[in-house]
Amino acid sequence: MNIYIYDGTPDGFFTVCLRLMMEETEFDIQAAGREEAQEGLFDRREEINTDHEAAESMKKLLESSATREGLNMAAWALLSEIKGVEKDILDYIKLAVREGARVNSNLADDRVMRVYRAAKKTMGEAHRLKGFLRFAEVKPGKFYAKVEPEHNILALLARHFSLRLSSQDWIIHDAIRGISAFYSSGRIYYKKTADFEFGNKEGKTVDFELMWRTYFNVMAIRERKNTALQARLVPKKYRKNMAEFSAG
Amino acid sequence: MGEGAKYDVSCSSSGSFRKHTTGGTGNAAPSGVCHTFTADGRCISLLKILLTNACSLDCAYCINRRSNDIARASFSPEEAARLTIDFYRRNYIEGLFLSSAVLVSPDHTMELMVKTAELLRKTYFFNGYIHMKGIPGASPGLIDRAGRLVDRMSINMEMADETGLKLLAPDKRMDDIKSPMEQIKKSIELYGSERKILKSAPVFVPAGQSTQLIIGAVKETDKSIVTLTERLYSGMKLKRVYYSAYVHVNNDKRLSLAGPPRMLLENRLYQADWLMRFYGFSADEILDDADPYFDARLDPKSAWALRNLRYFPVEIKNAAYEELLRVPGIGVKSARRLIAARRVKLPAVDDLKKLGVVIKRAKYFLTVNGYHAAGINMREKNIRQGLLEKGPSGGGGQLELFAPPAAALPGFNGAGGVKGAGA
Repeated sequence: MNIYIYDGTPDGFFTVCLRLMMEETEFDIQAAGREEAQEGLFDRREEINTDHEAAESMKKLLESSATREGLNMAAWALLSEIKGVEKDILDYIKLAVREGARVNSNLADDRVMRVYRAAKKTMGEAHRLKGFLRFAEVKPGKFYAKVEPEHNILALLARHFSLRLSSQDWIIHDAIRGISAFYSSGRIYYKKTADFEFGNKEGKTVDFELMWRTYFNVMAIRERKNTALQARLVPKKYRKNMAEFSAG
Repeated sequence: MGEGAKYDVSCSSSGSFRKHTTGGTGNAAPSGVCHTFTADGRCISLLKILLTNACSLDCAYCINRRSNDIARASFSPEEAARLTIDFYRRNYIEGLFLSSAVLVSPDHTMELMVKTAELLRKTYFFNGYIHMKGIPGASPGLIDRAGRLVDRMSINMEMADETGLKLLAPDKRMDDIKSPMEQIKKSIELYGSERKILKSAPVFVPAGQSTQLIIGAVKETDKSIVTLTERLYSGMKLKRVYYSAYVHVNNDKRLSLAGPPRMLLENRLYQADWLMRFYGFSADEILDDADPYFDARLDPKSAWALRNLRYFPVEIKNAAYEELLRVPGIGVKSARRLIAARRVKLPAVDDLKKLGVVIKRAKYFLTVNGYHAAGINMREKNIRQGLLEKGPSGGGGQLELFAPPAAALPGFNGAGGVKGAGA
């Protein structure tokens, strides 16, 4: 089986897609750095160089057949980084090119549903973390937040907070992927980063984390306690980066 | 100060779109964001505080009433505004929910609250969400100033009628609650029509008006609450009505009848509320006068369907959107998806699940291309058995108005966990 390796970027992926639109034999697509270790005896690996022009024309073709909605869905599904999603997206693209815009409403078709589900996972986690992300003021006027998302949503978060908290400098650090979004005076840039070390964070005269924790605990109504519901709404995996759940 | 405010249920931060301004802080997202959830599973979206808990009223159900011996404290408008900004900059919250006990007089209190909002908007250039309680009895001028600053206003009804209010909140008058509600409704309409002509006209309470009812504290039928809700939505044009199962905080003879918080009733009311807002049901369809209480083991939509089997089964091949909406197990989203999907290809029963239909309930009420999805006799008895929720053993009974002491009904409160809007 042929395994095509792309560089992990959307453009890299769409380059591969354009090349494989007509491919009939069995193949797999994997992102560099996330490849599967196991390799069959007869597997042949090929690294595909990203070609921005090819990617652009692939995207145009998808958008013209499945509208903006279809293109967004494919892009969000790719960000989910779910194992095997690349092939699912390609199957969807092929179907979309054949059927046109009505493909998006055909959720009963597995090829559409799989991509739709993956896209929803990405968007769902991004929406949750827009709420659950916590900044700490590590230096006067400089804020830092650490996130450990399952899906690759850093850019979605950065866009959201660039519109919301534009009068302060901040860093959002994706500790799973070792990459950070830096924001300062209207511009976002991304950099590979290891773990950050700050001295005593929030060591100010006013301890806002403590105030927040206190407020959070007071807000619960004892008579209505329902920790199962709470666990469903704030999954445990997010809690270690949320001030109100740390022992402090 | 959150202690006194926590019994307010609204957590909504949605419905408003306020753009970021240069040099300012924040924006308001139309979809709303939950920032965390408390141990009782409620969303915290807004910093919900009382400006003061020093109250001059004496309402039986309220922890801050005059006759309670508790520590009294107040925020200055400056302190409340600063705290909001500092929490917002750390992404703890989506905005501020400002309420207050009545300090000195309604106008004095309202003035302090308006000042807080003014500081936030004009000094700190805060563009996040603000929800402000209207204090019953405050002057129209202050209500108007507040309305131009905030995203949502709400005035709590508390009780479904004047009698309940007189009994439990002797200092409040239904008129003082209704007239500012009326004023806000009119202003929203007026400013709205001005904006159609003049884009720069000020906005007034862009996220609309809401209210809250305390349930299970006095004798009332479930039907009367549902009917009142319907009137508030159609007549008062409210955006939301919230229900709060009464929680015992004071020892008061007037409340001696109330048992533990009636979570299941609260759940049923929200289900009914959804049916009226999104599914085109009327109050009379949900409950009738002959039987004005909810069924403990059937959601209101299933209960309606069982009473009206003559409308079923519905054929998914060609049923209208409104007909599909009335099928238990089909919601707004799945009905839309179903209609989109059947244009391409008629879905089979297995496909319906993928479209979000809850087959467990819907199968009794659907035919797919002429074939009945559940394959059983369309008899009420047969269907009812399949639809019943897990509840207290031995009872397909009604929601008793005043439940016997908790010990007699083990697990009854647990049933409050039934989720969903009866889709």
